Amino acid sequence: MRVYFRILGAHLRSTLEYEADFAIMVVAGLLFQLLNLVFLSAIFAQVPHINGWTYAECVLVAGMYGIIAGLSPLFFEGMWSISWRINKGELDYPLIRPAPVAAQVIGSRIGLHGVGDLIVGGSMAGWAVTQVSVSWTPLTVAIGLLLFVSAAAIHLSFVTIFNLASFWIPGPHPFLAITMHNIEDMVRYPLTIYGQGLRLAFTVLVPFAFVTFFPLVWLLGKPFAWAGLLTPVVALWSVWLARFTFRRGLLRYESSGH
Amino acid sequence: MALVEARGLTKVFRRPQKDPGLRGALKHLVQRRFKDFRAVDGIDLSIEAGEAVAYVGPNGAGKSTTIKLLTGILVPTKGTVAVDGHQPHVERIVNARNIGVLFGQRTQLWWDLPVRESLALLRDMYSLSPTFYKQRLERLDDVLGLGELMPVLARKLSLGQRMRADLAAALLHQPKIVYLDEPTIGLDISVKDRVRQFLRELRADGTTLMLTTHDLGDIEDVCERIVIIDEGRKIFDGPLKEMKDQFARVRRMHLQLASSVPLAQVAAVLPETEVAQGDGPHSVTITFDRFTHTAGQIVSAVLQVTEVGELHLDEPAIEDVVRKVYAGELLRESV
Repeated sequence: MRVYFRILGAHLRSTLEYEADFAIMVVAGLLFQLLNLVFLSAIFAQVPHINGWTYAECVLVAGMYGIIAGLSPLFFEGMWSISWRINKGELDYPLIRPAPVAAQVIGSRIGLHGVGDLIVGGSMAGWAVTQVSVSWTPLTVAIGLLLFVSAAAIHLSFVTIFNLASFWIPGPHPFLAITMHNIEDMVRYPLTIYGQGLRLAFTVLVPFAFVTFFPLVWLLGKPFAWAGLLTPVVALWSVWLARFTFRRGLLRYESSGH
Repeated sequence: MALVEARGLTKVFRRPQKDPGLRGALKHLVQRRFKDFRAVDGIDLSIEAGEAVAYVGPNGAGKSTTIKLLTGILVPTKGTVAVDGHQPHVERIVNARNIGVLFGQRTQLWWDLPVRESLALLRDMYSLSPTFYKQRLERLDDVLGLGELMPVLARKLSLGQRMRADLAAALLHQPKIVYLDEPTIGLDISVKDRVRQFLRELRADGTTLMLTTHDLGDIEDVCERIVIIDEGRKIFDGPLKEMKDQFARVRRMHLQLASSVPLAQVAAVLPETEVAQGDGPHSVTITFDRFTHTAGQIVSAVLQVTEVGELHLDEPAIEDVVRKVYAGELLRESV
């Protein structure tokens, strides 16, 4: 952890050297999230609610995803470099240093557009929380935080797992991870709007449903609220799977040249 | 037990068999065929603490792959490695503290950070104490001239500066053994000398060295032992001198004769040798196999014909031997 934060900090400083880049990336993050909000508002201008989800509740879903999706470039961007690292043999040096390879890889980049995502996502969620009907007790807050942390862990674990596919599918670009990342964008909206097949796939196959939907189902007291409490279990499984995949991947690592 | 012990070390890469062009690529999608490629094939190697070993072979012989197996970057297909009693790819982190690695073709410095930051990150990873770190930097600064490089971004360094900074990065934690994969590649002569000087000092400090290189100067300057591999197999392992004795059979003697003598007359008394006109008017060059003739025999044979003024014997050059290896000649002879 210490190594990870040291590397990340050093990269933050070096990235901040390029002030224009920083501004552009933050604005890009802001615009992307705002665009999404505009889209959501346009729909609700026509209908009062979607499948029992009100405007505020939908904003909460989108906001929560905005926050989680914003944490990922800020703290996890390096994972997206793994496919070119595998392709170019750039895991050689991390492998000969006495620190976890994952920490070195993850810390090696910082995506400041996450700041924009965080600001807009945070504002959306902040506003929505005051609008939805939840009876807040210390317990609700505690469980809510646990579910949020678990949801973020699930998201980051699957970013990792899909990027690690490059150990098995050679090539310099993380095509699977990019595809899955785009698919995950669907959790911006309440899962109920999708067909049964998709819902099942998102719950069992790739548990994206636990990134926003189930935790909020629990918070808002919707049908199947109990399922939200499974989020920490799913998170443990996801983290284990990511670690396992990383270990197996490193055993297959072939470096470059010979 | 030796510091590095490798037994039957083997690495097989699986390579896709594709026909050329898009058509071949598409065909491969449907009908997947692979071919095994043995980059390293049953290598036994042991290195004692304090040794300096040159690991030599033509391009593609399996040098870098061996280094990657010894450092734990690659997992061996077969065979075992132990470095200071640890299996590198299993006890990766324990092993990492004992070793320093430099790949001359690639930097381990963080591209967008100043050298100082990169070294500080490494200090944290190896958990070096501030006093130790300071001492180490001073020592490395003495021999590598780091001072001027410290504030420079890695991507702004010249190749020579980069290599110096990379050497510092590999040696910061004072490893027991240092693997150097082509440490002088692409460097100009003065930087090369500096690096070699540094490697000699490392040896004097008792550090074990293993270096792969195509530069024979590196070998003669730094190493006493040479291991030659080709096609993934070890074909020689021993002291440099022994290699010269074993493989450099052909010697050349230059003689300055007292009088002008026809070459044929000299050749007549020296069957099985090659007699050629030397540089000067009265000089001849005699090339002989040192297993069939001694230098003394050559001289006494020539003395039967004429007086000899000066004589000079070429030392067997390591270049000649390695060139023969690279040309594939020794491999056939020794197997």
